[in-house]
Amino acid sequence: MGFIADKCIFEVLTQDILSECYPFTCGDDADMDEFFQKDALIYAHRRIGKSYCFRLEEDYRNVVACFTLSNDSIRIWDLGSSKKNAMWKELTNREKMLSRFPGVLIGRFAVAEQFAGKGIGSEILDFIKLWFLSEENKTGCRLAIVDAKNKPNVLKFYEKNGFRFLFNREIDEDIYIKPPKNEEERKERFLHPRTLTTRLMYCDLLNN
Amino acid sequence: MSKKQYLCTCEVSRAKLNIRNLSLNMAIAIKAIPTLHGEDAIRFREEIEKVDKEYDLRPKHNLTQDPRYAMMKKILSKARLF
Repeated sequence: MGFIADKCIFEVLTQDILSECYPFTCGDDADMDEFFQKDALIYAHRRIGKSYCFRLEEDYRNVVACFTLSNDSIRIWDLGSSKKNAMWKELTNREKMLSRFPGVLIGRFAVAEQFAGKGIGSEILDFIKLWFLSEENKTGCRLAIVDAKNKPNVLKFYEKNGFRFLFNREIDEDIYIKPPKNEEERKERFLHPRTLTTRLMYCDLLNN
Repeated sequence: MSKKQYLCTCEVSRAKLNIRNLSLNMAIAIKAIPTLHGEDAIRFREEIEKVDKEYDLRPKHNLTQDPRYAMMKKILSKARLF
């Protein structure tokens, strides 16, 4: 059926699990490792994010993958009512425009170094999508959202799994995240765009 | 009205302060998702609407027949969540 379904146990990441397992490492991201070793429990305590893990059934000391989920949404700026309604009615034949689309934010997600390259990441994304799309889900959830590391292999991985960029252009995302103070700065930012460390991406769960 | 606004602003500031304190000595914070407007909002909305239309036209498929659903159920049946 798949590696994580056949060979792993799915659990909430707890202090007990962290204590009894080998240190989790995804190989090239110390920040990510530190998050799951320490910060994930604080996030859970404060209800900011809940972290889960898959452990090997045959040896519980091996954590195969970890991820953190939070409730989130993508919001659309509410345009002036007459303009908005005219525009959306033309596009959609619907009288009202939703301004918020609920989703699940995959805040952190990593596969352990020794299990990388086996398609486990894609299996886990499928699991998360179906988990939130199924009738058993307690709340409405239309989207899966990630803030992906801005590296070609990572972005390609998410695209392959049905994710799209929230902003087509990196510069647009940068302007949103850190609005320029004035027109001069805006021009400068467009002339010399900086490279973002992460890119926001989303997947429409109905499109699966 | 001004008093109410003032209280709200305080609460927001306090919440921001708490999050900032929480962020100290922690991994890089997860980026907040900005509200879309203009062309980005229109493009996003159009994509959502396109999926809506396709979803409505598509023959109704039972999610439980999806092999990934069976995988998800198997994972949850073995899980130790609570």
